[in-house]
Amino acid sequence: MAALREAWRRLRALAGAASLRRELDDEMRFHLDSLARDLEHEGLGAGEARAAARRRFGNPLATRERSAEARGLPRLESVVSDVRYGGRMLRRSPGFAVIAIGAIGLAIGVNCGFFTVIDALVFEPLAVTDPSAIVHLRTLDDRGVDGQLFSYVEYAELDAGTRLLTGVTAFAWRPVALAPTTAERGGDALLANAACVSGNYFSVLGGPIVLGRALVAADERAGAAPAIVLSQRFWEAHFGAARDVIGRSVLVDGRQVTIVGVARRDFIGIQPRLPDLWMPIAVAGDVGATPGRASPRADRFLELNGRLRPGVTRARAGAELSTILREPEQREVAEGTGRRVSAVWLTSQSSLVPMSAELAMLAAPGLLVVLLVLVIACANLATLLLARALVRQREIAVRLAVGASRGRLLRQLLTESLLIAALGAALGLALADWGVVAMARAMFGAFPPEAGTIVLDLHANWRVLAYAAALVVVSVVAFGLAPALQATSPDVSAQLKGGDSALGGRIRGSRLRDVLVAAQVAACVVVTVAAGILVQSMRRLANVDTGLQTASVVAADLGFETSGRPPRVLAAARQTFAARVRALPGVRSAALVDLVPFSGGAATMAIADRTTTTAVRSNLVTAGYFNVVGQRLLQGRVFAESDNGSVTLTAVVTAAAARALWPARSAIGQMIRVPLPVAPTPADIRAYEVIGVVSDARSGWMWERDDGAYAYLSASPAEREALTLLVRADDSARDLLPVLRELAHDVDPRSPLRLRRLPDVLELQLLPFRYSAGVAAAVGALALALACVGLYGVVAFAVRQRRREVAVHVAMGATTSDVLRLVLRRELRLVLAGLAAALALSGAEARLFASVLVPFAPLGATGFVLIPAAIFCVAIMAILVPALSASRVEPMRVLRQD
Amino acid sequence: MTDRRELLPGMLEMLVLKTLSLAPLHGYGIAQHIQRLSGEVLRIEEGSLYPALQRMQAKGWVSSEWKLTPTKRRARYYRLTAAGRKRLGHEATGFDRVVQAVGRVMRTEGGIP
Repeated sequence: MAALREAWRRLRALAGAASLRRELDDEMRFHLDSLARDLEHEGLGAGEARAAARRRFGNPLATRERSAEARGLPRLESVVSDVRYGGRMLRRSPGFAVIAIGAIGLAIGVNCGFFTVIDALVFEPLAVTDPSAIVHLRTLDDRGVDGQLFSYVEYAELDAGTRLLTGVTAFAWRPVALAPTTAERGGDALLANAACVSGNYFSVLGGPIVLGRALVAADERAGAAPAIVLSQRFWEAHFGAARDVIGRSVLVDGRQVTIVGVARRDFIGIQPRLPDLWMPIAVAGDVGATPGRASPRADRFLELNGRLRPGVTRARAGAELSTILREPEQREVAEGTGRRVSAVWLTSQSSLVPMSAELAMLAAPGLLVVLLVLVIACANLATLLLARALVRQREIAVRLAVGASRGRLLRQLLTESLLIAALGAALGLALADWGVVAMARAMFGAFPPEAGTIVLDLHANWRVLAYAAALVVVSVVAFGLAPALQATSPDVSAQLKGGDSALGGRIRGSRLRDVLVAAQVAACVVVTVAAGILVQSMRRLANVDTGLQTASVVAADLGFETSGRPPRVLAAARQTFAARVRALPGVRSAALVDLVPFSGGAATMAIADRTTTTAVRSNLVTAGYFNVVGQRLLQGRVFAESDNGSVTLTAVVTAAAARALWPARSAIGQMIRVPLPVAPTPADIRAYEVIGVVSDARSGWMWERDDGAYAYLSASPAEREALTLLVRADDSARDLLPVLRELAHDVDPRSPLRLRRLPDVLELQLLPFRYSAGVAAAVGALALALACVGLYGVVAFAVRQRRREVAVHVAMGATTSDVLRLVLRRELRLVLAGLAAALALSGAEARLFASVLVPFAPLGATGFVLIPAAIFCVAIMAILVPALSASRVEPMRVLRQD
Repeated sequence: MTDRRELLPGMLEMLVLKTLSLAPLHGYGIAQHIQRLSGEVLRIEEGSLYPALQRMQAKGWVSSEWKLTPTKRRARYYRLTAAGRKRLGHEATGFDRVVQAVGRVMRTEGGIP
């Protein structure tokens, strides 16, 4: 109760602070007057009495302040007055304010921008119920290879058998063609990104629905009426947000399905890509839309997730799942058809990209760079503040002398720093918000529509604001504390006598300043090296050797199964198209392929030799493929037209596959056994004869190592109907595109043609890396600029502090070169110290980057020499220019000036 | 020359409270009263008196109001509150105990057993 009364009193006092001070003044005056009057009565003259009274009374100002503080005048009131005082100071020197706020604003902005991206991916919880219980399933096979894809058979076993998870969900991407049924206007097909999911996807994750219902387990049973759920964004964009969409039928890849629900806008599942619609895997299989084949155990194309039951640990659940899979697997291994998965283990999936050691390592270089920018900005600001304190020396000394408490002054100076940092943070947050959103839009906008809509909430949320606040506090301590402490140190008399210590004496604050110089140089080098490494690595990635010649290759897909066109008609159209393309004058060669190069990772299949099972990547191709993509033949022969009709199926493997499968023998003539797409029984394993060995290539993800063991299987006539046509033009493929379009329209006007140039497909992969390199370069340039400005500032400040010393030297007859030598000698030592530290740090930094950055390219000796040299030059200039101007000043004027 | 001694810490508040228990008074009056009654031995520093008065007011031991002095000048008069009276009794008792204890120690003759 007393505490409450106290608080209330303080609040009221806050309101009446000014009047309290006035009252105290009146009280003091009364006391003084009374004392003087009494002294007069004792016999002193009026003036003497007054003087004596004043002497007796002491310092009324100090007394008033102490009384006000004793009253418990809230720290709050003094804080408010401090802020106002700080604001006044800043307004009085707008140039300083702009530079200071600008520098810290840019630095905090860059840091907040970085954090916003990390936050959106790592910390933002998934928009599902209780994201902390969501887990992601991964596998570890007996060779220690890590994977995260499962087959449908495995998924079914896990979901049915688990007791420790409420359910296991499966997920796979697939672009499909969506079209209104023929009953309505025969319209164009839309390209939609479908998520093929298990029936329990919505119930396990807790996906909110705005219209209709979600998918349920019953939808997944074979033979169930095909049902799909739309995403709210897609529904609004293409169905006009019509409420009668529930129950409507549409065609997905030519098969009729029913729309049963619309998922709420914020539900995007477990990936940053928003699907346009969700459909059950079994149904997807019916419409031919699964990216893999839903039957055999070995066909792994699904990502699995699950929800832990309360109280269950990931380790226990992982053990249970491993057990469930063990028995059927062992059966298959015995039959020679499966791979053995030694364990299933779970990772947490409470956000899009859960925090893990690898992620931390990946983010470390970026974090390092942006933090260094902050360090540089703080060093700059510390210098500025030191210089400012020098100018305000006298004012502060006087205030200390008349009794202001050192603590109060310190608080005031710190409040000023806080004001700068806070304003800078506001500026930085605005910049970050705009910058990150703009960059994301630019980058995602460059992706083609089939990449899907990436949904990332990149606006500042409370976490970003908290991070900004923490940065403000850290910055104030970093750049404000030391200068403030120094400015208010009790060495008052030295201040009043005129500051700069004379010849040879230790200059106040010189140690701090020295550290600043060396730190600026070091930070500058480290940041530039980091930016250099990043840029170099991205460039190397962009110029990676794929082992293929694809500059003039185009991928053409004629028609998705749409508008109820019978598959046979479409197949015939495709065949005609392919034949006529081959006959075109500008076309060198053409072939069919299942997986277009550079468009993604190939699925691994278990390819068995007689005794062992090896995981090998595979692709279906037809004759002429290697010619089209420019892959060299090393041994044997490539597919010929005659292979298509023959009884034995043929395959061509890469050199790496040959080494892996038959290390001691020639690969030619060996047999490989591949499980058939449809039936899981051993009898339906296909055997392929290896007829040739080709060079290794890199046709999947550029940041992985090359393709490794890869087998190209000849496509059977039945399989050819679904393959993509790859066309190699004589020269630039640009001229070919309109020709192909015209041809397609001629062959089959009702089937849309999808054309992609392979260089563009490759470029799409590299886009994020290019952007990263651009950002790294920009940040590096910013850091460099800040550091150079700061370096100049620090040195100029130091030289100014030694003005009197320099003036004396000049008066004694020193020449300009003597002065320069004097200044240089000192500063050069610091610069070299900074460079030495930087080189040591850069070495460690390069090692960090090497272990983390996948497409790492070392900076090379030239880089490590050029960068420090360049910064050294900048430092020298920063030293020479102020030194020269100092040496030219008339010595007498400086010495007389006080 | 009268022997001026410094006021022991903590005693200032007690003396002020006692002074105010006699009658409401302004700050100057309090200082003069104590000085006079102690025979100029105790001298109150203004720099300590006013902060102490504000402190005591914040703690609720005294209250203040602006009034006119007999000589028609405006001054802030302090008055003891009930809580202040209780505090005074507390302090006075404690002080007496301390004084007697000190006296006992100082009055002993002879050696230490």
